[in-house]
Amino acid sequence: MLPRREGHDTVGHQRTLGRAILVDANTSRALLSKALSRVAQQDADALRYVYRHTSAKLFGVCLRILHDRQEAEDVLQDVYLTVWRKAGGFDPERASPITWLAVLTRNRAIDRLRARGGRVVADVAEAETLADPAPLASTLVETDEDHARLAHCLDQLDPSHAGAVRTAFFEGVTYEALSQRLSMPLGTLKSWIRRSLISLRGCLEA
Amino acid sequence: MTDAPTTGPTGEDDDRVLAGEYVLGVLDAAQRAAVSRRIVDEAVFAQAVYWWERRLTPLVGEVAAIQPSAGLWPRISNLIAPRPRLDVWRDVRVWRGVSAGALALAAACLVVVALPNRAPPPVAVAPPPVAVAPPPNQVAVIADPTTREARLVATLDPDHGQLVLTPVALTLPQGRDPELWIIPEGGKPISLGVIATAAPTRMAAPAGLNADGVFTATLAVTDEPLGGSPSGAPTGSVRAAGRFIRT
Repeated sequence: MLPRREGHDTVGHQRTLGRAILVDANTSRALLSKALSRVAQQDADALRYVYRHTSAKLFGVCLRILHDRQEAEDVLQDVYLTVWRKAGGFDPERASPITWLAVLTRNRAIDRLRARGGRVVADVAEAETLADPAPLASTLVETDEDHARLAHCLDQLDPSHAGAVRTAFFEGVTYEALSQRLSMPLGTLKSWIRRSLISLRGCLEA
Repeated sequence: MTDAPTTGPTGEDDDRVLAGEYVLGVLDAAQRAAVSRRIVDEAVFAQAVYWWERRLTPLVGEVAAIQPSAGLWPRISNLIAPRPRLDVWRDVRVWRGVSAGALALAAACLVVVALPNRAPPPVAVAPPPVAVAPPPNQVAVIADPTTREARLVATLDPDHGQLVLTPVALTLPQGRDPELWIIPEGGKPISLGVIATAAPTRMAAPAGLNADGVFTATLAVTDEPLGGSPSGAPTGSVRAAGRFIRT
């Protein structure tokens, strides 16, 4: 059994690496939550803090879905403007701050991808080669424990099923597009994903 | 919080799978819209969605972090800056940056207009002496409102009554068209149509653009659906703005 998210005793407090300070997941959550509550009071410096510590990760999420830097930046801009207007809607009891931000980002990016319709993006590899390495600051928002629990449950699935779940999540594509990408029948893919979700639910609730 | 397994009536398990499919991102646009409505209307269903959001979203930990361009934060910061009304069309800051230096750059760009066979000079090139600049009221730099980088140069050809738009560095997302607007001071944007991003666009100078006072009008470019704004008013974001400067 993996430790619950509430366990505060699993990670050290801070360690320095060069001049960058890596903080543990709980500290990072607390700092981001505090910043979001200040954003809700229209504190622009707080939004800047949130942006500095989350934009590289969230841009990676957008780019993985949209494969177009311009569109990904448009979505990211929209995300932070939404955070500016709706940070009061963040409920630390319901989700961690990075989860809240990532959910918002994925929903916007996926909606943008759907609005694009059947248009095919020229070159997936091209978008990725334009990538700049992110600074250490972005490691502030890793969700170590939650991710470890999920990865453990994904490992219980058939590897090909787990792969389909991961690809679906990262790319944000429809069943139809995913079945083409994985060269497998639509019905089989749907069955894989649905059975995987049921298995994951059982594992994650255990 | 309802994290405990639920053994409710038939359909609840299906709903939990549907909620998982929604969070995973495999539903099509119509299905997503239907689920979004149910999240608003049905508390139990919404809880099922939140459950999956908490459990699946940590997968973003496996996505590589990539820096967005350096211009993105200034753009966001500019958009949240306090102002009486969030109205970029009337915000003087949009075009306050169009300075004498930008005009010199415009002059450099004019050389490109005059000698279209030459490769365009790099933007960083030293600006030519101001004395070389054409009459400033015939040139407008249409620049990114945030970074001040020139996106287009607008030149008036009064002899032929034409307005020429020369793109300098105008890029838009795929599937979007650049639409040019003229915004009379205190007035609403008037569409001048979709323009080209790679070659100069010539058009009849809007009526009155040569008359007194019209030089205070702002020219702006927004990104719009292919073919231009369906409503006749700008719907996309402002990619560039600037104006002719009265001498």
